[in-house]
Amino acid sequence: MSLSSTRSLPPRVAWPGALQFSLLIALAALIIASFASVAPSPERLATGIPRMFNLIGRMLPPDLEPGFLARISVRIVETLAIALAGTVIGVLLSLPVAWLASRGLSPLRGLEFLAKGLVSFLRTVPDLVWALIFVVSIGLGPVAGTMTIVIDTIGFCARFFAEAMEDAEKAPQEALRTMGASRFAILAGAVIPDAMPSMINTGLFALEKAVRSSVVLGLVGAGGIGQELEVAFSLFQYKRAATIILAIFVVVIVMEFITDRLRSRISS
Amino acid sequence: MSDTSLTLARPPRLDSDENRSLSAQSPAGIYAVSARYVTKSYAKGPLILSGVSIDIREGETIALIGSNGSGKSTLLKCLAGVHPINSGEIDVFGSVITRKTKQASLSRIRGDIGFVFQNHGLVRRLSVLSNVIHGKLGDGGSWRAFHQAIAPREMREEALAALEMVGLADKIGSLAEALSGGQSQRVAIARALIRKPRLLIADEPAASLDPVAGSDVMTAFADIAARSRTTLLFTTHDLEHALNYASRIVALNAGAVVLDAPSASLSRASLAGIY
Repeated sequence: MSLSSTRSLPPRVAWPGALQFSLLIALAALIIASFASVAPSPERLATGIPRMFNLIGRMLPPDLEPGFLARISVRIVETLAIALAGTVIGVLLSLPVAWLASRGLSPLRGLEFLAKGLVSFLRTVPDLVWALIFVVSIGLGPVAGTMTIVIDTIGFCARFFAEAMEDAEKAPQEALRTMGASRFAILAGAVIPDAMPSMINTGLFALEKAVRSSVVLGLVGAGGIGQELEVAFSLFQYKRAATIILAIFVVVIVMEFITDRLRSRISS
Repeated sequence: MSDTSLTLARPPRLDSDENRSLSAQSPAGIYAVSARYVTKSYAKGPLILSGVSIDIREGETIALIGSNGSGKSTLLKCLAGVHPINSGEIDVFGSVITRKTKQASLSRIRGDIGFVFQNHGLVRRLSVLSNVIHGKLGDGGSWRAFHQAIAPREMREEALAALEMVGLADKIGSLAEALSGGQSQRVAIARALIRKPRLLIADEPAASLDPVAGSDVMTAFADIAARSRTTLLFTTHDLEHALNYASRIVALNAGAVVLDAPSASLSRASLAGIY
């Protein structure tokens, strides 16, 4: 049997058109320009890497003086308190915001984009910028840190809560709607129970994220362990800085372990 | 009778004059539902219902049959005031639905109706009890019905009684996702019953079930309707179900009624031409 056709084969590669080709060239130029201006040069790496080893040498051994450890412990607790309080308030506030932003469920009917826009704005402004704003407006300390975490959590959770609500099973919603249930009744009775596992997962991710953020917020004066780290580096107390970095590492790892366990429990 | 007994008979509502049917063809108290020349289309699409007229007496069990797209489900939703109609008039227990009927009136009308869907529409992550209590979330219900934990005691007792009626009282604490298809559908019936409906509407209630579970569900429907003198209107593609469980069969084709006859006068062979 011989297999033959009179038709011509398609090309192996679809070549870009003139516009696509121009855009690709522009993108390549942008990448090369970025490398040229901000990527580390071999000379800087050659001088920087030995300096880094030198710094690590000056950080060892970490400072384990009991009085300092006690102060660090208090700051760690404060950091966790900022993360926990900020996440809980943020998650609670995310629920109504997500409802307003969710397509097909929002009582705003056609104006969901306003709530979505607000959530996008909260999410795209970096947490350090929020922290600076709150430090200036509220003052130095953990309250500014908590407010920052609240805003950051709303930006993160409201988006995923809204998506979970939109993805909730439609049949129970339709059943309740047919019975004449209100939008709020449908939300509370059918949407939230179905979206709950996904929302708890998101909340746990938010808590993990909040712990990492609250560590850094201290660098701009918003309370927590970051403030101690900033002081240690400013005063060239590298052994103390090493202790703080190790403490942060332990806290973040423990928090990730706990939230991982909780997530696997929920999914099973 | 136990404390948890559910009384399905409810007194007739005293509707305002504006909602009272003036049509001599649909005197309240005789007909549960009386539809006249109902037309319905979605957006600017073709007519799904083109002048449907149907009378359903109180206590009757009607099977609505017809091929896919014939307008069965649309007719159910129009009769229940869920979907607005384009023209015509529907009298439900003396309250009239027209194109201009306001939402408040539709809500009152829906309070007399229980619904059961092909896919049962239970919230899988909630308990059977919470799902049954959801029946009270609808018109004339209570916001406390969204979860059994905060529902009033009498609501919980009514839910238990409704579950006893469908033979699933022992599953009251189970999660809905742990139920079989047939059990889920019976819970959906209990959810409809807790509304103490005068009219029970079921859209292909046995379609997603195996033959045995499907027959069980239809038997439960027929028993409950007979015991409580509730009017039952269901759609089906299963001609055996239509012949065995309905006192009357109405067939739709392309949005129009093409057959309306007592099931005793019909046979599988005589219905074959509908499809």
